[in-house]
Amino acid sequence: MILRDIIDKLGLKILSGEGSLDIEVKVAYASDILSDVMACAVKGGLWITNQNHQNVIAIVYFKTLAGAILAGGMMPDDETLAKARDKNVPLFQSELPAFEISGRLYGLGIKGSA
Amino acid sequence: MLRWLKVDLHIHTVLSSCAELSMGPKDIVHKAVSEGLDMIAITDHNAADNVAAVIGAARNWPLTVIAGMEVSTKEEAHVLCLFEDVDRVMRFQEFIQAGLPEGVNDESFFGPQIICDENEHVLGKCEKLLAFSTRHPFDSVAAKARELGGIVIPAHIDRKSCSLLKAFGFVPQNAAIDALEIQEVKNLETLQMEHIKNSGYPIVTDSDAHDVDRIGSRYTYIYAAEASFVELKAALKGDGGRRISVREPAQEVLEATLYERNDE
Ligand SMILES: [Zn+2]
Repeated sequence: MILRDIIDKLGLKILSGEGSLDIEVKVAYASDILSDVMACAVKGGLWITNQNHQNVIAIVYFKTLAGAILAGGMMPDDETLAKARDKNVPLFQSELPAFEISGRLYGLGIKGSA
Repeated sequence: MLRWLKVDLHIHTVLSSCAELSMGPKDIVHKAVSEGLDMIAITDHNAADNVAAVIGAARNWPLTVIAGMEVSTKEEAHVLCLFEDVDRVMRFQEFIQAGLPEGVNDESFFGPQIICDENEHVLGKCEKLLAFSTRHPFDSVAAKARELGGIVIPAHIDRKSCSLLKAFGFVPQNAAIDALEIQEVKNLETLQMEHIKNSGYPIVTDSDAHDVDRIGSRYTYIYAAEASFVELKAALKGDGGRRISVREPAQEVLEATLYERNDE
């Protein structure tokens, strides 16, 4: 499914990376252990997390993920958000808890990546 | 003779990509001395290559420099690990860095990780991904530090991220922890911090300076015989009347120690 449509269907708030929403997303990964995400998340996939520190941006950037969805209303601090915008790293936010986001993505045909 | 000393156990150098380029060894030493600190610890993220340079830069100054590191554990908890000498921290570095993810530091993203000597000459750059966490969990990191005779202090546990309290949900009892670091002393008033105050671990506060101006902004008082790693360890244990305090010791206590010094 095209990322832009996923964002619409889940009602995600776009925090940064508006310029890269027309890609196809097939897989996603949910984890809050960043070293685990570094090891297991797949290029081009979405990532659902409750973490909100600067390394979330770094991981999306290094692993070339489609983006990170901050669950449960988590917000990055100003410095992290500025970095995400500066590097055009796609960062989305939802008030829904991580389980709910994962379930809805699965319902849209997105599969687990690991 | 015991006296009150001012210590800051959490200072970064130019090796931490997030630190300002002003954080060279000489600048750190000069600022620490001018702020009246007796002892500082150098704690870069997942590395200790600049510890020896800062110790060297402090050689002719009334300042003790402790060899340390701020480890990012698997659980995303930041933990200060302090050692008696450079040799031990470098052995610890080998263990920590073996757990870092593969890959080369991207300077355009994170910034440079500069290794320098005591005269602030650039010796090279660390290419490892120091900004990421090691895959070693807290328990293994603490056990390794203890094995090397080190001191273990979970850093800024009152922060919303990179804190052991945030990662674990509560502070484990009877763990290999020598003290807890808080960023704001006033946070000790809140309910959860009240629980931490009663957990039995000593509390310290440090600057976590990433730029020179922050040095001296926060520090801990230790009541000890001299500014040394061994005395710090004894003060954290409360040996022989030694102790620590995040609040200014009562004025009369300070004056009493002044008289004691005059008597010597
Ligand atoms: Zn720090």
